[in-house]
Amino acid sequence: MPGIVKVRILEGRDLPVMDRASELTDAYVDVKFHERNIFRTQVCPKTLCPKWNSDWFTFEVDDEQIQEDLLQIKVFDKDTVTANDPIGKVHVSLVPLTSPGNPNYLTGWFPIFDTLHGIRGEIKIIVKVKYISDTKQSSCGVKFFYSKTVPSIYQLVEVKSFVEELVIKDDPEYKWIDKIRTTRASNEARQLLFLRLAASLQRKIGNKVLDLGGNAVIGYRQCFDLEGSFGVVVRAIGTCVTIEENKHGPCSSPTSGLTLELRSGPGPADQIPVTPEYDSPHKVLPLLLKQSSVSKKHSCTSESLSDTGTSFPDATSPVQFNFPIIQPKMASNYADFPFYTMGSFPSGFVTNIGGLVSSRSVRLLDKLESMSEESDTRDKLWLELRKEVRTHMKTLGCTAVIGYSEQSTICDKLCVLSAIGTAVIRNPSPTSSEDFNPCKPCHIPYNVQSSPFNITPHSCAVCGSGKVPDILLTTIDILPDTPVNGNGCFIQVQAFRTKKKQTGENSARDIGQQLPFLEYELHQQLSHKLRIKGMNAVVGIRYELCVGETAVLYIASGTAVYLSPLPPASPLRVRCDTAESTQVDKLQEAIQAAYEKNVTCYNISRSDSISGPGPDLNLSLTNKDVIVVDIEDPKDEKKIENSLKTLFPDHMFTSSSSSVPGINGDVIPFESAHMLTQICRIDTPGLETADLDKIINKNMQLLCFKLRKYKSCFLSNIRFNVHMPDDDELVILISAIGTISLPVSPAVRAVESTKRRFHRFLSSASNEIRFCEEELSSSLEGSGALTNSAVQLTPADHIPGAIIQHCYGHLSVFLIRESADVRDLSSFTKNFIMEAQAIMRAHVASLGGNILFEFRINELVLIDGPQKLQAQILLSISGDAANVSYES
Amino acid sequence: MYKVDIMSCVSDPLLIEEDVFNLWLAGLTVDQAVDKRYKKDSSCSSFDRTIVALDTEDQYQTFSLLEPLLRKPPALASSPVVNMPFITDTLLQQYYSLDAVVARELVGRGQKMTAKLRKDLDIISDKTGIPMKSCLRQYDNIKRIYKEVDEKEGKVSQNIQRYYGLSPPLCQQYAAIIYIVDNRIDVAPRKIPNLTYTALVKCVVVLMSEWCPTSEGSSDMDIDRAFLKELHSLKDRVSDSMLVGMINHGSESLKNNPDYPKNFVSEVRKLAVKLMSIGYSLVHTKDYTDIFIDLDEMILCPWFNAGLSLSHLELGLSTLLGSYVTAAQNTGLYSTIPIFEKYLRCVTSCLLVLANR
Repeated sequence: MPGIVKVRILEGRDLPVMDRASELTDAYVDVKFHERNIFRTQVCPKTLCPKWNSDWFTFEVDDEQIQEDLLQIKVFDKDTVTANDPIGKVHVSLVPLTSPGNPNYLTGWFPIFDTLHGIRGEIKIIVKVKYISDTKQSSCGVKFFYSKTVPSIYQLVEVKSFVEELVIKDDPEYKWIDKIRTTRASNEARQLLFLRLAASLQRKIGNKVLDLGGNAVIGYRQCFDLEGSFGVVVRAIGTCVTIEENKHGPCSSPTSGLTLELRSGPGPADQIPVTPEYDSPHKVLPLLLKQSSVSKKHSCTSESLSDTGTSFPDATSPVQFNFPIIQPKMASNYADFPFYTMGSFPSGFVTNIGGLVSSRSVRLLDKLESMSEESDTRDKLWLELRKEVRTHMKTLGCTAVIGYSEQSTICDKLCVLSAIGTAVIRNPSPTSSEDFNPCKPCHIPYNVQSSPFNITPHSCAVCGSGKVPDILLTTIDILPDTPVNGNGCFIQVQAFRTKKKQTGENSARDIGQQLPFLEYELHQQLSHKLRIKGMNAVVGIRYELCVGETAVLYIASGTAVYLSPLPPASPLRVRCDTAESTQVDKLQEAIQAAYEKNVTCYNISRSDSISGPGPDLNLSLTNKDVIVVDIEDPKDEKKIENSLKTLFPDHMFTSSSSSVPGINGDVIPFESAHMLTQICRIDTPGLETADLDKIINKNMQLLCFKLRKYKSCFLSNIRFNVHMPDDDELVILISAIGTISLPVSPAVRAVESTKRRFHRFLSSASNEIRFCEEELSSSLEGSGALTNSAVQLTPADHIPGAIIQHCYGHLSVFLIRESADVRDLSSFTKNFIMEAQAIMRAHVASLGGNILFEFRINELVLIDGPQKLQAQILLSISGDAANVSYES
Repeated sequence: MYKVDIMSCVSDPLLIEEDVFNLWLAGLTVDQAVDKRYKKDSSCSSFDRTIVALDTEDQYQTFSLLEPLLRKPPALASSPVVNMPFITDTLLQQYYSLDAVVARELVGRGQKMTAKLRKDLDIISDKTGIPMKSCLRQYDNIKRIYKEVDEKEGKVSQNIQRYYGLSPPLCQQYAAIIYIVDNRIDVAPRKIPNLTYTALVKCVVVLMSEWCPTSEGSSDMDIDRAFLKELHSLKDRVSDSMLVGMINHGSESLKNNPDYPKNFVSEVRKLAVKLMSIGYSLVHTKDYTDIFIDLDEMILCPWFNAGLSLSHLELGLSTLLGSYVTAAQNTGLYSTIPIFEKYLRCVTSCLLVLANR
């Protein structure tokens, strides 16, 4: 469907000085869309605040171009003698303007970004998109959300199915042309390509969603796999759903007001949206296997974590694909995978949680190349992985995988793909919630005797009838209504190993062999830490695997919680045959002390429900639940001692998601919030696990220190990203948001409020000065965008007290920054992240939004040049733009 | 051995502490700053020194990123990158704050903000005990503001306020410094050791407001030549007899009061003569630049040496004004009254400030 794109370039401000002599700039702007004619504004001579006030530039483009291409605005400095110097660029995606319900125009100040200089001033533009005919057949109507839940202004009508897509392209950085063109041109080509790939991917997924009869994607995850000379893979997964605007008006709670109706359920027919001619694919629900026939599996932890374990398909060589080409009917393909990327579900959606299901494969990229179509090869790889996850799911007697995610780590030619999710039994008719037991989801869904895992079931502590595992790990947030004892807290463990520098098959074999042990170590630590905390479950667990040339790092993080149905955490007991008994006793005492402290700190009640293995360890020695740890060398002891450390001060609530289980997030009065992004780079030679513990601890302490003045502080959405860009460099990125509620003393609070008042006064005063220049009285501007600084960025999916007025859908920004004059890499990185956040804010504000939910740094690749002063950073950030109002 | 080569935290909105900013401004090294933080801020005590050091370093890094913007306040206000809603203004005021000792030294050099003066900053740093980094910042701030407001119409302090958004007292300080530097007023500490920075600023502010030209297109940084010429011409217009009459009249009114020291009347006479001679000569640039030194050497030193007090000075000056008006009325020189008043009012204010040692 063709459309008309109209663009006006209004003015610029704070442009850089391009002419040293006059300390001024002669700027003009080129506007380009989809390789069509370039429009050029007039030159505004000798000013750093040019006013172009151009006419409307009109582009006639088709539907696909609108969705896949970007509006490019380039600012130049006119030079009479030499070539015109570029100042910088702005890329604007038009997709949000095509979505029904969103305004069809955007306007605002966009930072002008140059890959070699960063932000150089701002430019004000207006863009309008007008479709000539109806948009119904186009995928631009499909809304995309990074959020794992449905934004509260919408009502979830139907959960359709898993959608995925993948494209591969040559990376311009590795093309021959890169050798001859300038750094700037090469960076810009790369930026544009990545953005276009992402847009094209999204369009393809949008079409799939339409085919499935849905109208939105929830839990959209998009990744760039930089495979070096093999190209760049952009892949995305999500959950196709049908949503409709909430008729009861917006509500502040993210889950309340949701009604869930599956098509197989007794939902009223009029709620089923468009394209009824297509058969809903998810009708074909996978059968619940009563008898597990999987035998090749091994339980990866000896301590009966209810993890299915992971099997490693032939790690050394590429697998021969025997099965025929993927079925043409895509729909039936999806039906095979009842996977949902959503992370939280309304109550009644899940009947039972089986446990974690994961699968991983180690591949060599150069061995894949011989395959015919490249994107097909990658598709097959992921397909294989998903099939395995599905098999595991069936083994656990489950019908669906929720909180599903996919991840890859690439190191030279070696590539490790992993997929993980939580296997559950989906409630076939969630509406009929007669006598629904809140403890039921925790019950083991499969037959324990016939299962291949060595687990000891317990009776459910709530209802007494169901069987529960002693530890539960899930990738999803805690289910609503699940009974919780005390409050939860953030938990994080890591396993680190150095490896020999190898290439080719040797390296793949090595990794393949090491991974199970790494995973074992990780889970052992997780279990120890969990027990010391007196808790028995980890929800919202995330794994980050990172393979480098000389090291492998595996990090798990999540929110630890005591689920009431599960038995209390069995205490840890240390045993040592060689060392002196006093030393062991001391350690044992320390464990006990830490346990006692945690139980009080997290408000875990030790009522009569905790029988059996009580705090008295001597009595429980006979109990088979007691976990005995053998201390054989000082390393073991160190490990235990490390597990005893708490990362955060007692008064701080912590969580890996937006809320703390056991605490109603809305109760905490909202004062102000600071989003924190901590970057840490380590030269790995000589690095050991204990050192890494220390470094991570330091990072966390620094975050706590920054928030120390606030007595009750809630550090949420804590996430770890790890990356090994070079031989022996490890980059750890920790992001979190500190929501500050009550300052330490009334005095501090008084100061804060005075400051705020003062600022309000100041800003009104300075605005008068700054905007005394005549504003353009266009009608568009009247309704125009908010100031960029008013846009709040948050990694959370909701904010207590904030009512969503409108959702604009997801936004993503991909930027490259390079410099040959980096004095301080640390501040270079910091500045770039701040700039990227500013660009993101500008995009949100231009649509009329004032908040960006689910802010994520998806990728941060930091490369040092061979010369010391050279550095390049690739950054991909994303989030969901919205407009919220606050309850007074 | 492994090495952590980057550790940096981005917060949005920026999370920075005013106290640390001030330590940075003062030119303290990270190590020194950490010591200070432990001493001043009890909330640091529960944290390890390395953590406090990391945080200090991190904030220092942020301040370095902010510095180019602090130098251009309008850019700071409109910067899309810096998101710190509440604290911007505080930082700005602190960044432009001046140390009295450093500012006193800088204006006492009798130089415009030259490169040579910048090189001499290490001497000032040694003398005042203020770290070099801080001296450099203060010097650069003065130079930048001077360059920005130089040759602009209107009141200097208002121009500074408009562009830099500094607090009125701070704007006045800069205006005074620029006045001194631009007009090369000699305030060398060697020549006038008693003059404090605060007193100097007060005097210059009076000078700028009382004696500024009123013509269009002028600034209060300029000297009102027309007024000084008129003041000079008083010498020709006011006859010696009138001056004698005025002095006698003044003496008469004082004589009757037995509470005053014996030499009071004679000192007031001397005062009158010296004041007139200073006034006559101000039209010469050299004498104008020496105004504070002259006031100090010719008037204040003898006055206090004669064992008279500040309140006596105040009384003496007010008597002089009254008797001049009477004498002028008696001789019909009405037109000279406003000129003399304008002169004496300003000099009186300055003398009283300068005398307050």
